[in-house]
Amino acid sequence: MAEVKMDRSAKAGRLPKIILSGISKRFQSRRQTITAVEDVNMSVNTGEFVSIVGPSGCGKSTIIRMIDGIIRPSSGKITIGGNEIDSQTKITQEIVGKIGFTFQLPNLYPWMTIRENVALPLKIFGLRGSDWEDYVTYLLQTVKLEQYADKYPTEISGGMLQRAGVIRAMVYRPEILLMDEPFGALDEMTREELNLELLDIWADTGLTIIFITHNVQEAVLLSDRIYVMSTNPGKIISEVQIGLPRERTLEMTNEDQFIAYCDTITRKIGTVNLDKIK
Amino acid sequence: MTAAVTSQKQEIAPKKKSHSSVIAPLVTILAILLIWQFLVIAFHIPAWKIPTPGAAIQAMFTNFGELAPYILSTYLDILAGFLIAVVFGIVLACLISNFNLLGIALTPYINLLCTTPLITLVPLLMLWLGFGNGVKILAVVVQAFPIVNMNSLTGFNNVEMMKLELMQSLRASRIQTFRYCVLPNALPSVFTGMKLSGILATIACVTTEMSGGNNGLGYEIVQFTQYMKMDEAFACIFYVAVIGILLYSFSSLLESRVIKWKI
Repeated sequence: MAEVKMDRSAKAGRLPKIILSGISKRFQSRRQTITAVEDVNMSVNTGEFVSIVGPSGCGKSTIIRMIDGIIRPSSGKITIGGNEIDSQTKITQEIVGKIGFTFQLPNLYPWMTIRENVALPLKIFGLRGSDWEDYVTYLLQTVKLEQYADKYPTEISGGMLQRAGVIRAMVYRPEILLMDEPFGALDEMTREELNLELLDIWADTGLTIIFITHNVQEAVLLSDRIYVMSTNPGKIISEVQIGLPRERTLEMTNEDQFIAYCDTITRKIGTVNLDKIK
Repeated sequence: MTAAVTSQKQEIAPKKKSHSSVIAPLVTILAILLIWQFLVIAFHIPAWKIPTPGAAIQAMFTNFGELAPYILSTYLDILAGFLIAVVFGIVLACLISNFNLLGIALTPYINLLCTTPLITLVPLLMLWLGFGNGVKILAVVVQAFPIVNMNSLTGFNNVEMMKLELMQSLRASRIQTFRYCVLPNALPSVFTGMKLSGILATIACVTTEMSGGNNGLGYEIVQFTQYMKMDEAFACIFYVAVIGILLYSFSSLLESRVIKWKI
């Protein structure tokens, strides 16, 4: 399906697709106020693959939930494709259609078949017609799921389920994909397979991806750029540009440059944790 | 694109319904009836105390014409009460799960209704409504509705956060969220409630008939017992069992038709 292939040269423009300026999120409980993230500034360009790494509880998930609009920021401003969102403004349906979201677990509904799960957003958005149905079939084929289309989620493996979860987020052709540790619960081999498949999908579609993970190696393999976060409160402490060539391969993970990137990032995360302990 | 053959789990073969699933329970009931028959004959138990199952089953058919109006009365009252209870129970659960205040106001009393033995309410209901079919239907509703309500409510309220987050992320409307997420998630609990309420409906109707009604199988059981016509009394008990089983089977059949996924 040629139409989904986006000209990679479009990336040359490198316009900022998502900008976070001074974003903070505080959760109010009865006794205290918990600051989940503080003064986060980020910018993600069109077609860029950006990861956010950091220890558990550093607010990574909170950040992408704010971009998705599931959570509203307490202060600061988020700009998505030129549309501004702050603590007061509600995200519009137009922006919702531009963003796809994948969860830590596949989060498929057990009462729907794989095909029905993948096509669910179309029903919600009221997108009908054979073109959309064909696109569902195309996506299922892309991740080798077409023969499982009529199975229920309990009948297929974890890797398959997560593939379905990823294409469900893409079925309405969003421009941005927000991924919240999507492969964290999978075994190493399946995770590597899915990493490579994701890179293929990204190359084919020209999506802008923000990828959350606590696996440094995964982040380096996938990303153009990595934001490193500290915990309590969640802050961005560093930004690392990954200068590895595209196409990325698993063999790269053994190369010195790759290992050096991993070391640098691990040390940045580690320093923060040591400081906290002191 | 990397093929994902390695991680592919063996497909779970659908369970075939073997003949043994039908034959085994039939053998059990046949064995029970045979032992019963044997004990009654071997110990010379008089028919006015315990009839042989053969005599009771025979009475089911020979007395069918005489019993038919009573059977019909009991069956129709149970069915009417059961259907009202199920619809009312599910609709109310749906409302309570959507409107918090309604839940706070009603839940303690629904629980109270569930824990109060119905038998204590029957004399009161009769005082208000007389001895007709109305009181029986009301008794069935009062007994059967709380259990389907409580189970349905559990189903409606216990939706995993992440499942709701997906709907939130897609900005699904309240109705869409209910249709695609909350309702199907609740269905297994709703059916459990339906099965239980079928059992309670039967108990409630027969109990009411026994404690002062003037028609139905419960009333007949009391009458036959008083006249020591035990085979007829047991024939009535069997007919009560039949409606109980039919209601349970109806709920199970509906469940298997609606819930096609594995839980």
